[in-house]
Amino acid sequence: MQSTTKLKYLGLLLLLVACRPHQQALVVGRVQAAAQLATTEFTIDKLVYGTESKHIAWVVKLKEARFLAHSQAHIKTGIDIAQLQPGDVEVAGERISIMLPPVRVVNFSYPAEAMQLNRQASHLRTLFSRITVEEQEELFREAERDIRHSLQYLGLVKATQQQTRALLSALLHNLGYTEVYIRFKNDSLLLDEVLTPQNETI
Amino acid sequence: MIPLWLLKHAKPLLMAGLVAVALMVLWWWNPLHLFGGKSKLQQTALLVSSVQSVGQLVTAQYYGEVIVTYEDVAGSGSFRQPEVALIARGWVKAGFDVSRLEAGQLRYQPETRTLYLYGLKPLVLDADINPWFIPQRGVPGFDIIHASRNAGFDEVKAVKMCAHQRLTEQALATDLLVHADLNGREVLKGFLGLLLGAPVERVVMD
Repeated sequence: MQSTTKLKYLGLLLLLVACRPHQQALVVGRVQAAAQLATTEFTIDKLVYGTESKHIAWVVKLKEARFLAHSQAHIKTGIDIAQLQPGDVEVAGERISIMLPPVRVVNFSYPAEAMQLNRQASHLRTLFSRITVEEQEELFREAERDIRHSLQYLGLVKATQQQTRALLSALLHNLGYTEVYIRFKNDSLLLDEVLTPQNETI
Repeated sequence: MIPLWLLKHAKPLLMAGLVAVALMVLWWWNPLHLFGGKSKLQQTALLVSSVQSVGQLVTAQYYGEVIVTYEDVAGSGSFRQPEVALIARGWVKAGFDVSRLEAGQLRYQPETRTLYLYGLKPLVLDADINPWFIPQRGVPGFDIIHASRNAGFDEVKAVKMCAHQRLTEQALATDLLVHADLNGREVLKGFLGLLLGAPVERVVMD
């Protein structure tokens, strides 16, 4: 009797594990619609400096392997114009007032071609340690995480608001408006997300 | 004299030797990085080196995955040729460059509720494969499936750049620019309709 109950629980557990959705398969190989206006591009430089060393008896540190590379991230920021609602725009003759959605990261690029290994400072292999290409990739992932976590503190919002105002003001003056008022709903920064089929429109 | 002493203490000596060998094997194996040996990122500063104004309207994006090997880059060579194989995941974004949109490029005809746009063509705006594809879900941009011991930073970088090119080709083969054009008309219809304060039923691009 007891063993039957155990088997039931085991079956239920297996079922739960087996039925977990494969999230990666949901997002690749498809074209999805977007409606984002990028107005500012930031270039951020970062040195990726990684070390690896072994210890004898947890105390004596042996000569460490070092990896030093220069990298560059390009971040485009702007607004999601799909979020703009009719209530956010007021037109009265030649006067227009717009309440724009918050600033967001439209594209985050951390390209491999901008990653340069510093051969003089790097010492990838010692007698006891070696920084493999897989570990180098892991260091770049950590560096990307570092950059993403710091985006809130780099003054992206103010600069983007300024550029967006300039771009839209020029466009609105071209459309014939003489008085243009542009405001933002708030001063937060929304980060970019890979779209999933739940929020796609194509 | 010495062999006699060795014979007398053979058992404890053998045990000590075995323990020493076991410790050495454990040290080389280094399970769970018990003796260090895990690469660690050191803190470095971030430098915002430039801020530029752009004007890009992203209207379609493609998320894709490609598999590339070092042979795809250098061709099949000698048996000592470095071996690298990786899976790369990234995106290609397309849309319009609206940074220089001028008054003459835009005309609205209220009678037909048609908006005419001149000189706007869909183009690829971004194509990226980052170290992370979906950081919030822990999906990496590059999965190194195999790398031989003689494959280093340069070989992996060359394969990554080839993957970038493949992904762009893959995206263009799925008619990304056609999608960008079609969706762009819808986006501009809604957006410029709001800004004009007048209904736009049709967008004509020339």
